[in-house]
Amino acid sequence: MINKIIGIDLGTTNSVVAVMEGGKVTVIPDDEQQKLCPSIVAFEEVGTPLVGVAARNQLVLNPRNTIYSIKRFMGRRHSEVTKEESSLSYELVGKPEEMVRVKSRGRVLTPPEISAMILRTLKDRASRYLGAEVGQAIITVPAYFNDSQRQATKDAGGLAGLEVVRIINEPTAAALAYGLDRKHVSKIAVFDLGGGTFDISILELSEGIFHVLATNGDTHLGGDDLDKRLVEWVYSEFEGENGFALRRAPEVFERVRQEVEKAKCELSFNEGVELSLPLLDTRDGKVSNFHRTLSRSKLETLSRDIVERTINPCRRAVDDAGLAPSEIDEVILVGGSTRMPLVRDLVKVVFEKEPNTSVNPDEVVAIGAAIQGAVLSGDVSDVLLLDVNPLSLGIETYGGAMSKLIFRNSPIPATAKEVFTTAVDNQTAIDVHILQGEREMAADNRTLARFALSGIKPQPGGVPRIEVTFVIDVNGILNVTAKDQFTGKEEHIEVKPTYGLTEEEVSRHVDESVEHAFEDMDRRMWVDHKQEAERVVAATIKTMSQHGEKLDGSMREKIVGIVDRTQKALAGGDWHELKAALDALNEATLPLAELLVTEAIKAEGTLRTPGTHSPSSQH
Amino acid sequence: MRVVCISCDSRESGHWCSQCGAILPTPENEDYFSILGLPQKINLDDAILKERFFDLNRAFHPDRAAKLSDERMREIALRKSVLINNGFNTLRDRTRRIQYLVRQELGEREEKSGHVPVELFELVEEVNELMSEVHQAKQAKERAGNDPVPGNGDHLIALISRLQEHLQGLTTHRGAFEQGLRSKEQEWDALCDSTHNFEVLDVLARAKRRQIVAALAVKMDEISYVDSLIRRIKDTLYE
Repeated sequence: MINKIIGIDLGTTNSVVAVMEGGKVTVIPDDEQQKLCPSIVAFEEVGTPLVGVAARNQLVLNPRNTIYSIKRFMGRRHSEVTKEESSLSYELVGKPEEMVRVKSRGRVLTPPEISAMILRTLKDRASRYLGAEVGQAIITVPAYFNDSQRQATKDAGGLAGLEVVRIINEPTAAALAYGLDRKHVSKIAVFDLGGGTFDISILELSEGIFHVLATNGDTHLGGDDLDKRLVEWVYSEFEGENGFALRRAPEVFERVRQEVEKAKCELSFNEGVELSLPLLDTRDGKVSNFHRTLSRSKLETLSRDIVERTINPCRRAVDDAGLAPSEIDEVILVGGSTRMPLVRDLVKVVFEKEPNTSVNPDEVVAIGAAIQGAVLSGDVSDVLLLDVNPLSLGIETYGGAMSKLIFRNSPIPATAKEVFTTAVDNQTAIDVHILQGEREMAADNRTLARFALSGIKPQPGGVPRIEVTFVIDVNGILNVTAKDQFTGKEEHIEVKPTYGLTEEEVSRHVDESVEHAFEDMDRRMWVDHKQEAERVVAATIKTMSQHGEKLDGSMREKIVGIVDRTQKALAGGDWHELKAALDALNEATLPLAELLVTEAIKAEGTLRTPGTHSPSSQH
Repeated sequence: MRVVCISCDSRESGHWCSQCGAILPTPENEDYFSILGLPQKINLDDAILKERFFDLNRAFHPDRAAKLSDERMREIALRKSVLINNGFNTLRDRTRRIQYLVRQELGEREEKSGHVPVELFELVEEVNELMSEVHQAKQAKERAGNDPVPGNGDHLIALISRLQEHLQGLTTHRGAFEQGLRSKEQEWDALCDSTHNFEVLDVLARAKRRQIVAALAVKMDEISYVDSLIRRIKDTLYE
C-alpha cells in the first residue's frame, strides 16, 4: 500500500482520477491514453461488468443493461426520482419510500454499488500508474449535495475498497487547482455546470487560504437536461416531417441521445452540424431516416430556459457573500457544459466580466482533489480549505415550524446544541425531526432524519433534560449525539434518511424561501401565538371557574370580555390581532395569577409551573 | 480562564501551554470573543476578526490537526475548530453579535419583537386601520372591475398616499431607534475599554453591564418591530 491520497472527480457523465507527485499533479490516463472515464457501467449476459469507454461503446446495443448518470440517484428515494425515471433506458426498482435501486439482468444494485464499480476502475488505474496499491482517496461532490447524497458517495468509496479520507465540494476543488500559485488576496466565483448538477461558489483567496464565502446551486440541472430537450426535438421534428412517429424504445432513444449529445458538443465550436440518424425504428414497425442540419442558434433557442436557471443561484450566492457582482475578481468555468457559448455569454452578463477559461473544465476538479489529497497526506502544507455547509440545518419545533440551528454558508465543521424536554408527566420518549432547507415551516423542508430519544426515566413533564448535539463535520456530513444531562449518559444517533423531496423541490427551496418569506413569517407568528393563546385561554377559564367569584365583579367582567376577544381572534386568522388580544389577556389575568398563588400557599400545596419550551414532543 | 494542560498538567490559559507548547483544551463556557482573542466589543474590526479566523484555522482546522499523533490532541483541536467557526459565524454579523452578547449577559429571553414601542402606539393604530382600509378599497376596486364606482379611485389614491407618508414617518423612527442602538453600543464599548479584565469586575460594573445590555435588547426589539411593520405596509401597498 502506498501513502498517496488520490483525488477522484466522480461525475455524472465522466469521472477523472489524479494524483500529486513531487509538487505536480498528474491526471492519470487509461491504457488508451484517455483521461476521462465515462461514468457508465454495463452488464453483459456473462462476465464481469464493463466500465467506462467499453460500456459506452455498447450502449446503443444494450441500453437496458447500460447504467449511465447514476450520480442522479445517489442518496435518493424512489419517490424522489420519478421524473428522471420516465426517460431512462434502464429499470429502477424499490418502493416509493425506499432508497432507489437499479435492476439489470435479474440483479438488483444500489447506486453506491454502481458508483463503486467506477471508483474501483479509477483506483486500479491509479494503482497501476503508481506501481503500488492505492488505499486512500478524496472524492468530490457537488457543493449543493445534501447529507444523504454525501453519505451515499462515501459509502461508494468504501465499497470500492477505498478509505474516503475526505469528501470535498467540486467548485472548491476547482478553486484549489486554479489558485494554487496565487498569493494575493482575490475573490473568485466558480461556475460549475456539469452533466447533471449545477454549483456556484464564491471564494476569497488569501495567502494559501481558500475561504468559501457562499455557495448555491441546483442538484438537478446540467447537460443531461439539454440532451433530453434535443431528443424531444428530434422526435417531434421527425413526426412533423413524416406524419408518423419514432418508437419510444430504449434502443431508438439511446441512439438519438448519443447523436444529439455529440452534436451539442460540436456546436460549441461550429455554427452548424449535420445530424445523421439512418434506419430508425418507427412506431408502425418500419424503419426510416432522419437527416437535419442543427444550427447553434437553434440549439440555443431550445436550451435557453434551462441555462437561465443558473442565474438566480448565482445572484443569491453573490448576495450571501455580501458582495456585488462587480467585486468578483475572476469567474472560473468548470464542467463540460460551460464550453457552450450561450453559457459563457450568460456568465458574462451576470458577473459583468469575461469568464476565465484557462483551466480544462473536465479535469480541474480532479486536480483540486489531488491537491487536497497532498494537503492531507502532509506533502503540501501552505494550503487550507475553509468550506461551508450549503443548506441550513434545523429541527421541527412546536406547531410545525423549523428552528434553524446551523445556518447555510456557515463554516464547517460546525456544531449546535439543543436541550429537549418532555411535555407531559412520565413521558419516556421525545420525537426529534431533523430538517435541511431554508423555509420557515418544517413541512416545506427536506427531512434528514426522524428519531425518538427513548428510554427517558419517567419523571414529571419538563424535568428531563436531553442535550442533543448536531455536528456537521468537515465532509459536510451530519453527526448527532444525545446526552442525558442528569445521568451524563451519551449516545450516538445513527442518522439515516427517512424521506426527501424530489430534486426539483430541493432546488426550488431557496427560491421559495425568498418568495414566501413574508407568508412564512405570518404563518409562523400565527402558529406561535395560537398555541400560547389556547393555553392561556384554557388556563383562565379553568381558574375562573374555580376562583373567579373571589375577584370583584368589574375585574371578572373585564377578564371574561378579553377571553371572548381572544377566542374570536383565534377563530380569525390575523396574528397581529391575536397577539394584541393575548397581551391584553395576560395583563388582565395578573390579579388572577396572584390570587392563585395565594390560594396555593393557603392550601400548602406545591405549585408547579408548566414547562414552556419542549420542541416536538409526543407520547 | 485557566485549564489543565493534558500533556504536562500545568494550569494555563490561552490556546497553547506556555510550558510544553501542547494545545490546551478550551474551557467550558468560553465565550466567542475570547476564543477569537478579541475585545468583547460591538464595534469590531472586521479585518482583524477575519485575520484571527484564518490564523486560528491554520492552527486547529482538522486538515492541520490530522498531522498530530496524539488522538486526544486531535479531539481538542477539532473542538476548537468548531468553536472558532461558530464564533466567527456569530461575530461577523452585527445583529447576531449583539444578540449573542445579550444572550451571554441575560440568558435566553423571550423576544419581544411583537410589542409595540411606546412612542409608536398611536401611529401603529392608525397604520393598522389604514392598511385594512387600503386592502378593502383595493378589493372593492377589483370587484368593480371595468365598472368603477365614481370617486372610489380617488379614495384609494388618498389612502395610499397617507400610508406612504406613515411609511416615511416610520423610516424616520427607525433611524431614531437605530441611533439609540448606536449610542448604547458606544456605551457598551466604552465600558469594555475601561474594564479590560472582566474576571475582576466588581458587582457594580456587572450591574452596569446588564443594564446596558438590557437597553441594547430593547433597541433591537424596537428595530425589529419597526422592520416587520414596514414590511407589512409595503406588502399592503404593493400587493
